[in-house]
Amino acid sequence: MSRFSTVCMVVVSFALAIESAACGVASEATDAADRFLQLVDRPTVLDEAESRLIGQCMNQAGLAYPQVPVPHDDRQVTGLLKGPAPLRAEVVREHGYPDKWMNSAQVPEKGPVETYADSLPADAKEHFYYVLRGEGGNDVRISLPGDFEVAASSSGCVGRARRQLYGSVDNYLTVFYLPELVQRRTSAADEDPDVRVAYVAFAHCMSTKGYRTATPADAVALAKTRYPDGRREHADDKEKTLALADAECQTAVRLYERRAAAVDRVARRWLDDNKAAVSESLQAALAKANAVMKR
Amino acid sequence: MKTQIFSLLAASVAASVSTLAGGAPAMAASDGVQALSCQSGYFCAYINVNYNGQLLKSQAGRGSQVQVGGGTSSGSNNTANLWVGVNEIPSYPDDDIFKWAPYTEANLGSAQNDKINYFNVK
Repeated sequence: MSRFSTVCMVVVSFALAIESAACGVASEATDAADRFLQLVDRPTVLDEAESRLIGQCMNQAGLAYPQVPVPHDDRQVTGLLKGPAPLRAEVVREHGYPDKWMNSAQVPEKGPVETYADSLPADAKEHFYYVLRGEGGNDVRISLPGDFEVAASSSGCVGRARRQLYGSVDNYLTVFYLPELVQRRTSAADEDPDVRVAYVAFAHCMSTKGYRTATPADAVALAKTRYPDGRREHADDKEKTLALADAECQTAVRLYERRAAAVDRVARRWLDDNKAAVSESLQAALAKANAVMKR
Repeated sequence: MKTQIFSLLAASVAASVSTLAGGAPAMAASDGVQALSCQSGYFCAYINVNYNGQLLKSQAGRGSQVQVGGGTSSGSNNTANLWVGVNEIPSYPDDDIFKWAPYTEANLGSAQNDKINYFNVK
């Protein structure tokens, strides 16, 4: 298969995905939400491919590029967005809180790419970043709904990889950042009247079990004080008891469900208010993908 | 069809990466590299939109949790890592506010720009 046809195949696939997300967004809010989910839960393979393409491009320029596993948001989709999973009493009774909440002291000084670049002589380091990012700075700059602006470079190995995979850097920015823009707005869920009532009920429930914790985050913070160095291999009995109380109180007041519902309301309201602008952004991305196909 | 679209895309991408990597961009070192908002290899957070008023400049690696004072209104990520802004008060554990993709910058605008208390590096 020629490189051109392969690129076209990828771009056609991307264009189909974007077209699915764009067409009809303005007509039905439920369709907008359904299509928006396609962006929220986009496949990890895209990030893996981007990283590999960057690495191959750097290698072809005679430079090393440390390959590391791509960051992956493994949280479950709840409603319209990815979010934390509910605490399960049967799990925390045995294991306490999830490890990733409890082990916060692993602090690598810097990432492998940055470590490698910093190991180079000054001239070589400058060349490394030049080949990686090009000379134009973050020259692709797009505005998304809500006074929100994102940017990235179109040149260098990073810009090249994104153009190859997404048709354009504009497309990449739209696909990555639209879900983040909605996620950003959902912090308002904690101010939802029903959620505030649920937090009060949670705090009361915890107090009946002997804990002064206003929120689940407070409970986790309290558990962390049991491990001053920030590392714990196994939950001790006191952590398990606290985590069980947390899970039982969340279940008793339906905190997780009420908060998830509030997050969903915020996200759907935002999508409904901005469906024209979202549609416009996605259609612009589609137009650019189509332009690439015609070259 | 809709649910299968990204699966199709994923399969296409997986099959295509090696073919796409055709060669390094034609470029040569020059003195004209345009300055980024934040030094290459670092993540920077700013109190103002448009990348003014630096609150944080960090190279922290994956697994780090980096506290930030003040309200982050914009950020520039010149690292290979994902920088995840988190709000800790009042909140639910493991609830992200906003993620910065590698090698991008984002201006969050004026709304709710004081919510990020710390960053998780992923």
